[in-house]
Amino acid sequence: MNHKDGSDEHEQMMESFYRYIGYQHIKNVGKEFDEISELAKDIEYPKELDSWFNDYLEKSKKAEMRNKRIIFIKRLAKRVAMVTLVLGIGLTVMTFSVDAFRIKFLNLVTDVTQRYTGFQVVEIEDHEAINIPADWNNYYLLDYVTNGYSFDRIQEFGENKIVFYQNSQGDEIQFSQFPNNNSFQVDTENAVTTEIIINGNKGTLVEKNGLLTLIWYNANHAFYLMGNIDKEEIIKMAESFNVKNE
Amino acid sequence: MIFLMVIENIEERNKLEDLYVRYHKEMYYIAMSILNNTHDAQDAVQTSILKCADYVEKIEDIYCNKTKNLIVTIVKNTAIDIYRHKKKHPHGNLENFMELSTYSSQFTDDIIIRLSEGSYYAERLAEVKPEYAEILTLRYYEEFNDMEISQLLNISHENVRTRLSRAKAVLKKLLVEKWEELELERKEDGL
Repeated sequence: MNHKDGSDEHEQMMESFYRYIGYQHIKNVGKEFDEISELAKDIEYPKELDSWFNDYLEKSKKAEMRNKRIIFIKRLAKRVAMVTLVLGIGLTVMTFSVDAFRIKFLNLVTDVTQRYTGFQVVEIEDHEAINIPADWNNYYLLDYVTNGYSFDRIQEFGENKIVFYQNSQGDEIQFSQFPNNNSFQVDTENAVTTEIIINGNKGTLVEKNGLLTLIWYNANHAFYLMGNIDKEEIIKMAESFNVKNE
Repeated sequence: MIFLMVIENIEERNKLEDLYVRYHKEMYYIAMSILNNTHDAQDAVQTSILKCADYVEKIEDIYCNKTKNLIVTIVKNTAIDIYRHKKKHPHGNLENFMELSTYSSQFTDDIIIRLSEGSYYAERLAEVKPEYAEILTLRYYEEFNDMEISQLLNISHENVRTRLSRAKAVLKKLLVEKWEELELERKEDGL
């Protein structure tokens, strides 16, 4: 034990001595360095080294700026993502809970292209004569149907409800309705489209090869009415749409 | 790849710039004195500056002797590496400079008291082999660890330990020689 203590003590003393030798060596080097400084005063120093060092500093500065920009962009991206998320959620909530916003939003979405236009359908009928499924709630029917047509059948595709009317020649009128969160397309290529107001709701009438398609919306649903009938008659039918079972 | 290493901290960059402005001629002078070739000396200075960039955060005062020693150590070793590379001289065993004897701890315990002669021993050690004074300084005064010394001198860890061990052994031998010399003088004086 004593031998170990003595050995440690000896090692510590030697380390102190080495440190002192280091200190003395540095003093000696310092003196030599000052002599070198005197000798180096008039040395012809290559300009290439100055240029290289300046380039090196410039690269360092650019690297620093680049890293700062990357950090800034990362921070900004996080904030933008957060704002976008909040805006997205906010818009969704507003769109589907506030009528005024929803109508504007849907009008914008349905403004479509030259070839296709978004629309929605509804039908009417003497609902007493139509066999309405028991699980239908808040659905729409047409109180007026043009002469010669009568209720034929109902089809249901998910949330899309379609009522068919037929005349004695087998011609059909379709009235379709579905909630506003759905979308659809109508062939408007080479067709004549006219803006129409149906009971205060904005709509579009599309005429193509004698086939009329009338699309309009209200706060909750989109409708379309389609058939080979007169323009006045299709508008009259559309204006007779009424919510039932509400 | 070494030329792509850049300092992105403005304080360290400014310190390196000060270091360059103050010591660029000395660095070039030292490199030229070893390599005697302008292109090689330029390479040595460039590499040395990039090495300094690695240690610039440790430099507290660019005008102190510690900083001067660091610059001399880096430039000198870089220039020697370039010289060896050019001459295709392998590093070989750099530590076989002199025959080393083993001294008992007890013996050196008796003579280590002569600290007042530290300057003499530092000079003698540097005369025997400058690398020994250099490595003792880096390890015990500058307080670099083995890995840092290895990078600074461009030698392996094993070589760092070997060189350090031999530097201590040489120093002890110098201590004994001096002690014997003084003992002889004392006997001659009849003390």
